[in-house]
Amino acid sequence: MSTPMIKLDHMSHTYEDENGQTVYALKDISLEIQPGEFVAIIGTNGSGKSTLAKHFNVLLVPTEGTCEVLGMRTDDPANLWKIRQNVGMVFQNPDNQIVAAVVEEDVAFGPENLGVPPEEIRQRVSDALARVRMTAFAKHGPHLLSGGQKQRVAIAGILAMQSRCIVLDEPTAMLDPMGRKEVMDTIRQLNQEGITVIIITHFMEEAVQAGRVIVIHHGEIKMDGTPREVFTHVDELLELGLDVPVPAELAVRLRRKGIPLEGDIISKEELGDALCQ
Amino acid sequence: MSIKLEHVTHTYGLGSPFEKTALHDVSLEIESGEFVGIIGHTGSGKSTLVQLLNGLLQPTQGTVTVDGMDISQKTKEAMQMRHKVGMVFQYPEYQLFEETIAKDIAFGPRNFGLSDDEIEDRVKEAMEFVGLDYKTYADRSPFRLSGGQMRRVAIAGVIAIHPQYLILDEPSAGLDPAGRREIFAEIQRWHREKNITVILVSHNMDDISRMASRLIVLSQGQICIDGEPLAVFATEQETLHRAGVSVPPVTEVLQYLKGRGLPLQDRVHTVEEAADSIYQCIRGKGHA
Repeated sequence: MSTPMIKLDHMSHTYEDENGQTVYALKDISLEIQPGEFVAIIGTNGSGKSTLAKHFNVLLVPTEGTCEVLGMRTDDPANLWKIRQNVGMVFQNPDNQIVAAVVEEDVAFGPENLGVPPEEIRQRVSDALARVRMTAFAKHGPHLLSGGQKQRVAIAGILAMQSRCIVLDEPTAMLDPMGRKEVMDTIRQLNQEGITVIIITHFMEEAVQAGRVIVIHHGEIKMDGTPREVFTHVDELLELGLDVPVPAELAVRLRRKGIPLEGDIISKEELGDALCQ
Repeated sequence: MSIKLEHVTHTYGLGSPFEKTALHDVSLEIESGEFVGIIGHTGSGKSTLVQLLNGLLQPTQGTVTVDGMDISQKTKEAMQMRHKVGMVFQYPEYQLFEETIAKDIAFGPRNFGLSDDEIEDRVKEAMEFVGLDYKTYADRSPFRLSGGQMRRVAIAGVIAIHPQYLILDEPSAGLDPAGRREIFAEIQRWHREKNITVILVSHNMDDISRMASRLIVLSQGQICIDGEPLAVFATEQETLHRAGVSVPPVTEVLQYLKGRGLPLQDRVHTVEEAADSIYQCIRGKGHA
């Protein structure tokens, strides 16, 4: 078996509140994410999901237990840059993560800092922009791009670092439906090319596209499974203050009204099949 | 009583090489007491429109009037009128700046020259409205709150100026589903109890369809749809698609099922109503 991309072993993260009390933002989390997985993390505001994601590229280190990225412990400062090169992060606000005045220079920022030779940087930048379908905008000013395009530039910056894992913290929260679709299409395609994708989202229609869904609540893992395994627990998810995909909720409500529907239903197609038999 | 736009055009950078017309010849009247949803993709002119509604931008051509008063005038009366229009920007929590929550909420009323007693009443009322206990939170720093709570403080700051017209730009972005439901329940209550006019700008069709009595869709700086939301979703799919916006998820599922031959009623607001609609359709056919 290959080395896990991410491995958490009884990991906790605590901080002190204003009264000096110890608060667990994350509590005793054990988790493995394998290379090539597409994982969605869902949970309410304050559940700890962003805190969790920040451990994956050493923006935070565990206060108890361990976090390993490709077998490297994140609490060893010697591993810091190696880990950050392998795990790139995309944040919610597209305007907060663009540093250069021209798109291609922004994408080149990472490899330049790694000391990659100029010829290779040029190659990496043009490859990265092609993979996120932004080649036509290489010479543009980032401020003229839409939110979805800016997020794709941020993703290109990570690709230019040749990172193996991308962690996205609500990358579509500020985008319109078209921008959201652009970003999700790009993420799916990169995952198919072998990149490990971890996305934090409040949009259930995005979470169902992942191969695995992890539900965080009060700093602990409540559920961990395929979208089908997770989203058929409609009542539990609603109880936790989360949404469920509309077809899944409809199936539960119809069964409750006495309409027998077969199978686990999470998509409109499955609902259609069950109803139109 | 209304906000009225007459043949309003707004051009940024007029006369410069970067001249761009964001709104083109828009006429619109929003009556007092309405709950209006405004939707459109990035660059459609939404933000320009709402900034014109409360006088942050001036029309290049045409006029914007609030209760009959042209708010582009520099007169005292026009300024007073602009106070009637409250605006909650995107991510309003980034605009908090005072050292205590009570002071931050008091900023608006204080600038309007109210007495200390009146200000305190306004702050208490606004905090109660957004569900923050006055005793517990008044003297705390707003910067120690969670994102959802900070947003409540920011909304309370606008509520405290007692706007007659409340404009909200994406008030639920980045909030979890429970937080979204709470904020909207508060806004709906405010709309009902105080009869204020709400103008909600959102990417989320679901929110608009559940709350708004009128839907305005902007595309390329013009209004391309103006109607009752459920009627629009049922009949204007083509125009919506061209404007780059989509019907709410629940409508999408019902329209899909209809396309597969289930003769069901697809004008519903909620998942609950959708389940009823499917149930009636199936039972009607004598299936179950």
